[in-house]
Amino acid sequence: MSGTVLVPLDGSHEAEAAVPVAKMLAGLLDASTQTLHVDPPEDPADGILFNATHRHSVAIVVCSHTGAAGIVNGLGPVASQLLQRSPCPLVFVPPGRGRARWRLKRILLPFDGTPATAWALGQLAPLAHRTGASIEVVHVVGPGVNVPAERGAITAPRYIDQPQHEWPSWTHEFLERVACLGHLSLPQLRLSMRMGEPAHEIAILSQRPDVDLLVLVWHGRLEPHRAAVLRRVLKATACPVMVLKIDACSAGL
Amino acid sequence: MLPAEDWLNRRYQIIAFDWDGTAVAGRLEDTTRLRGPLERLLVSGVTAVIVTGTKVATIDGQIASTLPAFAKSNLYVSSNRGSEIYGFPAPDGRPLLLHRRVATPEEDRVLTEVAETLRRQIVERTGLDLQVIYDRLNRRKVDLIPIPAWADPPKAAMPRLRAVVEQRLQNAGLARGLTEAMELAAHLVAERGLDLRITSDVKHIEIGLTDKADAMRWLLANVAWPRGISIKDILVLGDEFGPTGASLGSDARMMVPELRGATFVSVGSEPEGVPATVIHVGGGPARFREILSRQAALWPLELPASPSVAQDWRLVEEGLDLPREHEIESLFAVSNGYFGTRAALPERTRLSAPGTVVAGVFTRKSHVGAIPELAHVWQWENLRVLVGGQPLDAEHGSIGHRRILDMRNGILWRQWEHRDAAGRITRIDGLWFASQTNRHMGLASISIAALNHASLVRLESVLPHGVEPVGANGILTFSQRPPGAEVALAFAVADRVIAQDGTIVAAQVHGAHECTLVSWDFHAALGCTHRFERMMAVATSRESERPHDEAVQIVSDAQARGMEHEVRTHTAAWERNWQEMDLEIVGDHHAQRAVRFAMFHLVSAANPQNERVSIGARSLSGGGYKGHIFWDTEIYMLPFFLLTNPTVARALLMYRYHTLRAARAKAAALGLRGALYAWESADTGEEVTPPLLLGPDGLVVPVYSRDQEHHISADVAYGVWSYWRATLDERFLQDAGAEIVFETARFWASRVAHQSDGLFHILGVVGPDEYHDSVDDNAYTNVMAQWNLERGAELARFAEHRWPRWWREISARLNLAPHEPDRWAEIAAAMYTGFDPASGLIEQFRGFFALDEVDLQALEPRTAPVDMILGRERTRRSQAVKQADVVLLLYLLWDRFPSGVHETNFRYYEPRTAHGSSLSPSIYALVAARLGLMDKAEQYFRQAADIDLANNMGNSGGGVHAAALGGLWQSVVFGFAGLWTDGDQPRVMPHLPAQWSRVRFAIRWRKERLPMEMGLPRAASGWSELREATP
Repeated sequence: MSGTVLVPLDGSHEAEAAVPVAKMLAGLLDASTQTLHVDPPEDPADGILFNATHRHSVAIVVCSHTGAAGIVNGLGPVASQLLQRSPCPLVFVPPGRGRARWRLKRILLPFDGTPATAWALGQLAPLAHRTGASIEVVHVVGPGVNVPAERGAITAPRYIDQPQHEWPSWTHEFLERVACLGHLSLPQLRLSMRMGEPAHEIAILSQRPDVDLLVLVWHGRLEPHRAAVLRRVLKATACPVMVLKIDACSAGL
Repeated sequence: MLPAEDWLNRRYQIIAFDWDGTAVAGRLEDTTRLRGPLERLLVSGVTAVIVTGTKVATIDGQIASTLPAFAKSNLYVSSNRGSEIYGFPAPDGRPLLLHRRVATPEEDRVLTEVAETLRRQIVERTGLDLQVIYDRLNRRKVDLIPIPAWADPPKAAMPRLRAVVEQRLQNAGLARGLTEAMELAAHLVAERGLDLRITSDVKHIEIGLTDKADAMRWLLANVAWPRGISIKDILVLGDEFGPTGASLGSDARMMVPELRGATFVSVGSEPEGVPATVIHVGGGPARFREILSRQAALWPLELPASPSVAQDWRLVEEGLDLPREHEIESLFAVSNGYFGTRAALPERTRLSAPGTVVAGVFTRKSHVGAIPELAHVWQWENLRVLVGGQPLDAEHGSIGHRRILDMRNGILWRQWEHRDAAGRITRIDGLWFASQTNRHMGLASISIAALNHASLVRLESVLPHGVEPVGANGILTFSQRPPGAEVALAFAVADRVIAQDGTIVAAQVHGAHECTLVSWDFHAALGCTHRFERMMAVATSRESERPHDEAVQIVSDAQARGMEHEVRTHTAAWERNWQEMDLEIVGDHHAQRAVRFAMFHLVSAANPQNERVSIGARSLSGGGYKGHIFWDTEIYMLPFFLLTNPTVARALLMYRYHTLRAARAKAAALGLRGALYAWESADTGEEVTPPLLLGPDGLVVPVYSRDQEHHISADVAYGVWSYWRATLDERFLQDAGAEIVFETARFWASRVAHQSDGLFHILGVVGPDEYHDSVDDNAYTNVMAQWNLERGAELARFAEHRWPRWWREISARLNLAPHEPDRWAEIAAAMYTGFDPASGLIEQFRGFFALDEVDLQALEPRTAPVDMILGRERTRRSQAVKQADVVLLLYLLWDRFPSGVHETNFRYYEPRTAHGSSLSPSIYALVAARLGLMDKAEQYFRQAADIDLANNMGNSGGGVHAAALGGLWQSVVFGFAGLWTDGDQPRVMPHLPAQWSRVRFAIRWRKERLPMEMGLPRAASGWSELREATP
């Protein structure tokens, strides 16, 4: 065992939706499942984060909300705090998922083409390798979308001299960067290019029944006008969402 | 082991040494181990003087001929006991007599008299059989022991020889043996009052006009003093400074008074001691080599060149930005028109896409529908460095990493410092280039220095399976035939690892099933440098019946010349290139560098010596577009070559001539006559455009360009005509060009449709604006076809009048009916052009004006091409234009349209053009500049300049955009500089950006080189004859 997958439970029925996901993840990551019941008056988030740190958690799997109160961006108060403060990847499980068995065959991976996002995918790599899951890399392009300013970013080419050559080679280049920087296996990847507003397009995709896990890479900032995709997807998704924070140390050489 | 004495730890500028007994034990000895240190010293600038009694041919055969020519300019040989001095000047490094002492007839007579008298006197006293040897320059030798057993005694046998000679003389009555014989000789010379030199090597007594002292005096007078070399910077080595019985040792003659203060060292046994000023170390030739190595090690092992420092001449990539690695590999690629190699790091990274391609060598996969693509061949630049068993990895541990593309010299540089987990810092500097002097060759030179450690270092390079050694110089050779390729390739490679002391590190060749590993192991001492050198040659069965032999010969010749020579001649070739073509923009570094980058890659892609290949859309810098050739070559790249190097332009057009057969076949397959060039072609000229496209949205659509983009035939004819006008090369026109013009005109004559309006139309085409397929009367296509028909008719009339015999021959060969040219003219005259004289607008194709207007600006910012955003069908229904179409036509055929039409159409089409192609911005810049719309011109120029340098297409990883580079050059020359070549005499009307204070370049025009310069003070608006601008 190389760590724990922490499953915070608050005694509610909804919270138990996280359990089958956590158990499967723990198995895939050679980790143990650690359920955690945090009782008031202790701040639940503080307790969860304390345990995650001291038990070397490789992930926290938590129901995104267990009640109607205090839900912001699809997350309850505890999940919201975890999102901002977690030292490890988080998996939010929609309460409506119930306790049905979870499998991991298809991962949906929105990718904006920036190196920082690709580097962060290294956190996903062990899981992806172990499952051999198909990873659908979603790149949303279109009008009104700025070219990422980050050096080394790749997005759909503005110019296509000869599409019969350009698109196949660009697709290969795009996926190869994801695979290489994110330590993922190229054959597991396939590209799905969407046209439109990124948050909207990804939110729609997150409701597809064949998606087992949606992986979002996040810069860690929730101020207004930021994290639009995260906010929208967490509200709309029907599948578990893994949130990976960009680690400045791992972004680039 | 030598002691660490002061004399040995000083660097000497001149090293003079005796040969036999000092440098070698005998004249048949292998000098491999001596060669390395001696070459290192020579290349470092040290003068070496070999002082010998023998002939220069002996020294040349034993050592000099084995040294690279470049190294030998500092080598001298004093032969025949100081009577001759030879040098080995560049370029061939063969012995050249610099000085010879010529005996007068009287001196010859006296030498013979003295030798004969000496022989007679000794014979009279001893009765021995002695012989006089006459065939020596300026001397005679009395052989004291002329018996077969002692015919050619080695130095090692000297003590025994001395004993035998002494015994022979003493037993025969000369009581004091050799000493007494020498005294007799000295007496004979003295009583004649002559200045003759008497020496002995024990076997002989030599009487001559010169000795080693003359060699040293020549050296002082002709090398040391003119170069200001101090006497204390001279090291003299020998093995016989001490007395040899009767006389001083022969090397003592080198101790002339003028050399007081020099260092004299003896490696001989010196049984009777040495003079006080001589340092005796003994040890013979082995010790001599050790001294030479120690001296060599005192000189830094530098690379044979250094990168340009001027910012306008280089691209610099600091650090390693892994996501951009493919792009950097393209931008920094080195090629020479014969082959190209991407700038992948030699040890590779996770995102490396290395590649070496040979122009025109295509591979064909076996599956149905496979498209030929440039074959990837052996990646000759691969090299791995392991320190203490750990491979150096640029992704981890780099503490400094820089790549420089030195465009001035055509060299890729890398400067890298790496610290491994153990804290060992290793510095690696390297250069790579594709030779401009022999296009078959790629060369690399890499230095490896241990900065803070002493470690075992291993270099490894992978070669294909089946490597064979050739000859004795370490050349390896192997063959490759890419799958489905028509041609076979042969490689030869010569590697060498040199230590700082000149020692050559032995290579280990490990054969394996799928590849061959060559490795070199050495101990890197603290602060010391080793240098890896690779000379690679590739030849193909296309140009040689024996490519293997050719590759080996090329590498063998290069070995003889040396790496320094190859670097020097390569950079000199680039210097000549730049002298011919450079375009200077004063006042705008960004523009200057961008234009030089364009010219660098265009020249790198071209091979004037091969008319069977052309330049692919991504040149030789990447595998994008599978190496296929498009209209890009004639419309976008050719003008640069036309006006800077017409030989290249001719070769590119000859490729179209050689592929005419395939063009005829394509036309015939459509039921048409003449020549329809393939939209994409490879080696044969057959159509190789993929028929279908799989888009990123998962939809499969036909590639209409394949079957409908017919304007390429007129584009090729336009290239031919442009060449003819720029060169008046009648031979080309008769041999090839005219046939292209006739066959393309004939194609258009069969392609047009005569309609009820009495005009000729061209239906169902794709123009340069590829957003709209299956359109009728694309203006670019129609007007270019019209022009093509006119030129066909004009050329026919011209030829009939000027070259009647030739005209009859080609008419017969092409089965040209007498009325055909007239028919071409009739069709041209009645061609529908889409031009509306009332509005001045040219409709891009019939029905274009009725299409939906689209506000392209409203789509900004955007991260996708416009046709993807709008969707295929909406794009087809809209006025969104992919790239310059009508505007390109206006540029190419400017004078066909009335004044004012250009600006009217520019202003109409500019907001409708999405610039969805890299070919577009440069043409808009050009036309805007001609119209004086400077804001637009500068905006589009910057856009064009950044296509590769800023990778704003997101796809430079597949290679640089060669057509965009050609377009950029055209935008400066034909746009901002305002060059017009429509008349017999070029003229200019510049419109320079405010920031550009001056523009200078030269063009080739009808065998003349016309330099031109423009700028401040700003030329008044209006035309200037080019000659007026000529300095």
